[in-house]
Amino acid sequence: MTTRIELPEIPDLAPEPPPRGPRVWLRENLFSTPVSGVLSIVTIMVGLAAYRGVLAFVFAPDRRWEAVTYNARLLMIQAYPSEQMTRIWVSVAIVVLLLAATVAVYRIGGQTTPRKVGIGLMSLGSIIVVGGVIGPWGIALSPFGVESMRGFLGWVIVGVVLVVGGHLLRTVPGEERARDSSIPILGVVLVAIFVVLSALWTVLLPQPIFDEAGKQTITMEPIAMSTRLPWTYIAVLGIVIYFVMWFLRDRIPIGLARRTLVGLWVGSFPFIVLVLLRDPHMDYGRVFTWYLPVALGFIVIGGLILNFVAGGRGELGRVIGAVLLIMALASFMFPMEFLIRFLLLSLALFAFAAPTFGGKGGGRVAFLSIWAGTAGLLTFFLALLTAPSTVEVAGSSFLGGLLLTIVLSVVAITLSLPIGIMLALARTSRMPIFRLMATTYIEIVRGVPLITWLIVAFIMLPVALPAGVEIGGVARAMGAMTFFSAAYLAENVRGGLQAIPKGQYEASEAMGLTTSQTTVFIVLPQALRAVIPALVGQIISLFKDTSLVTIVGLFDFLHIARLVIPSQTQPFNFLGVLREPLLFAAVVYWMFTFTFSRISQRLEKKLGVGER
Amino acid sequence: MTGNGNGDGAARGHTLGGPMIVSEDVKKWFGDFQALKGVTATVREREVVVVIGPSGSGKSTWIRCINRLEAHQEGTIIVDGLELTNDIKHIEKIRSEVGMVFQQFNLFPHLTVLDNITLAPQWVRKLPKAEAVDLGMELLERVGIPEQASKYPGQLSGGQQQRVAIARSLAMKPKIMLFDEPTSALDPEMIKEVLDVMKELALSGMTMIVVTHEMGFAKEVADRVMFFDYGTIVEEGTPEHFFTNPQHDRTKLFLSQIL
Repeated sequence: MTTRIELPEIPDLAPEPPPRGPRVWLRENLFSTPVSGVLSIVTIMVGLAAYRGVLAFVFAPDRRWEAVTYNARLLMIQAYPSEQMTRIWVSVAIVVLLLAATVAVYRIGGQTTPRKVGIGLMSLGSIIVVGGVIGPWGIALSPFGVESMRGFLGWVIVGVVLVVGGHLLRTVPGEERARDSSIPILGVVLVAIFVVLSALWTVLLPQPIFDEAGKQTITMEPIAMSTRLPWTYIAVLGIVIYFVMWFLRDRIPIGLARRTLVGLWVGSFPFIVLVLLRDPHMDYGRVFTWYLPVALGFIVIGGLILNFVAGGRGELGRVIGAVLLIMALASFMFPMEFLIRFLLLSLALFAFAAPTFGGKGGGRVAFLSIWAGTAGLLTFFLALLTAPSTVEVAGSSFLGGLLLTIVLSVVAITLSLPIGIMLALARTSRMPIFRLMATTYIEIVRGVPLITWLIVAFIMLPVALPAGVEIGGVARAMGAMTFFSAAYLAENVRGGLQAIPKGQYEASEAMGLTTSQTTVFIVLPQALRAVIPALVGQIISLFKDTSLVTIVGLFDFLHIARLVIPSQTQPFNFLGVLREPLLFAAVVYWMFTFTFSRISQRLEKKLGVGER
Repeated sequence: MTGNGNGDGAARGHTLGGPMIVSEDVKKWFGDFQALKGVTATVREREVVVVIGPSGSGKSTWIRCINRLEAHQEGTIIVDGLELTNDIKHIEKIRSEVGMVFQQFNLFPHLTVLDNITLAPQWVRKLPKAEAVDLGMELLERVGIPEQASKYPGQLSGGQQQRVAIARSLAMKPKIMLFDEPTSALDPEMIKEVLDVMKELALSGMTMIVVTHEMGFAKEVADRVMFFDYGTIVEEGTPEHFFTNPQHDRTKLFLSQIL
């Protein structure tokens, strides 16, 4: 007799999905313990109250946002002549085109999933719905008033559409596929650009007008044609350039393309400010009889000297460098053209660098071309700076508003970084004289408030300068901010230098690299990488500190928002309207600094800080 | 000159050449602590010397003096006919001819493996980039990891990193290689791959000084073993002499503890 054994059913051993869903999420993240539950509820209530406060402020019926919309151009570029606006737009276009080309050539922008985009849209939609529900229109006005119903309904409808859209995007391709499939981030950016552009053409903003009785009132109008048309052209051009470069990037030598782009970025800023916006009146007679011959002379004769020194002349090379340096320094004590002084100084620095970085063959050619480029650019900028500007503005400078803020920040940041690095190296140098000089500089400059340095640059510098030399107000502010920021950057970089293990120096020196080669190839790249967060913090703080130039009478972005608009009486009366422009200024500053911060986060990730 | 292999490089069938490193009564202090108390030794061309001894005995300090990572205060060190003084020219020349491999590898974490190797040939030997890259790939083949050329050091195992470090030193075409406890920071299963590379190097006729605790390597490859203690050479001799018939009590004690 056979017995049949009833086997129990084999349980399904496929992995169970982990517990998921909103209830699990809430329990794990907000209400894991009684204390965290209480904290969560308190935080949510404070957050909602703050949200409602902001909405109540922004949408209060007596807010005069027309003071911002009417003065938009003033805030951006102050008194730059309106018949020259093309120059501004061309500058913006150059930056946007370079940005688009860079994104294409450097393959910036990864992939994201429909699920993530869907969740993002759903969160945004929920925030808008909440805004519609708790917004001021339900309570401040009569609950059934038409205005309040429109506000309430509009917000809720927009929010619900976003939530539903996000949910569809998240689930339509099927839960599993949505998690695996990916969409390029740049596609999302493209959609965002289209949304912003269509808003530019459709959204109505308040504009002040005079009614028939001559009384100041408000009408709702779209943004002026002179603004939305150029933006549309620039955006379309940017997208076109992106796709052109995207098509070309596998068909052209990529190294050359990248080097060209870096060169264009470096050159674009001085070109925009000094040539495009400043529109100098060049004296071509002087260019051909003085600037060109001097520059060519320095390039050729200096190049021969550098080629000689780079050929490994040992002590003789150092002597030649020292003689050039003494000549350069002496030239500052006698009446002399600035062109000669600066060219001599840079030739001396190149002569010191030549034995170690001069290279051989191709390396030598590269070194000599860098010299030719430096000498050429130096001459070019000096010629531009000494030529008078032809832009006719009411104030002392053609720079103002957000434009001034950006130019000040870019100049101060790009100039203070190399100075700060050199100070940091000097402070950690083995030679006591360098250490002493750097320490003295850093301690003195850091010990005095930036405002004081700005005032010194404006009140005391003219006394110290030799007769006949005049420096414009904006340049003085740039100088003060650069040297101030350099002291702080030096301390940040020093922190990075101290984090480099001794073994790195030893390994480099054991292979026969000289001290300067070790510094340039081994130490600085690692040190700077280690201090990116601190450097970006310094850059953000410098960007905001540009608002201090209001002290010395420059018309930066905040100055216009805080002082110029609230004292306006002609043609429209905005006397005392301070809160709206200030909130607008705060939002604009935040948008810039938040962008810096995000870029730095990506940079850190990309360079792999902390994962040696 | 006790038993320096009788000039025949018995272990590897090499003929030893003239003196490559001459260390004459070298003394070195760190503050009040005397790390080297008069080290006198001569290393001949193509000779492989293994230096052993307890920690703090001055063996690392001595080989770090040979390429001036530490400056000795008394005595003379002559490397390939050049005396080590404060003359920066001599130091740079000697460093470019003496390769060094460290316990902690000391690879440059921000450069790829290939860039780690080609950096010094390009900037010290002034080799054109293409030639440096060819040389780098050739050396990576030699140490057995050409497929890792474009990775970063942090992505490699310890043994692979140390092999890259050896390739990096060899890229300068050194006449002498110094190894400062090259396997001490490695997991046991990775020690062999590094020792194999070092053996191959020894067989090719490189002059080497190796500070190590790997007695097997010493027995198999060394022409001469030096035992350091309290900042001086206590005993030296061929591996056979050293491991079968040590003379000094301290040597006997040390060997009894580690073998």
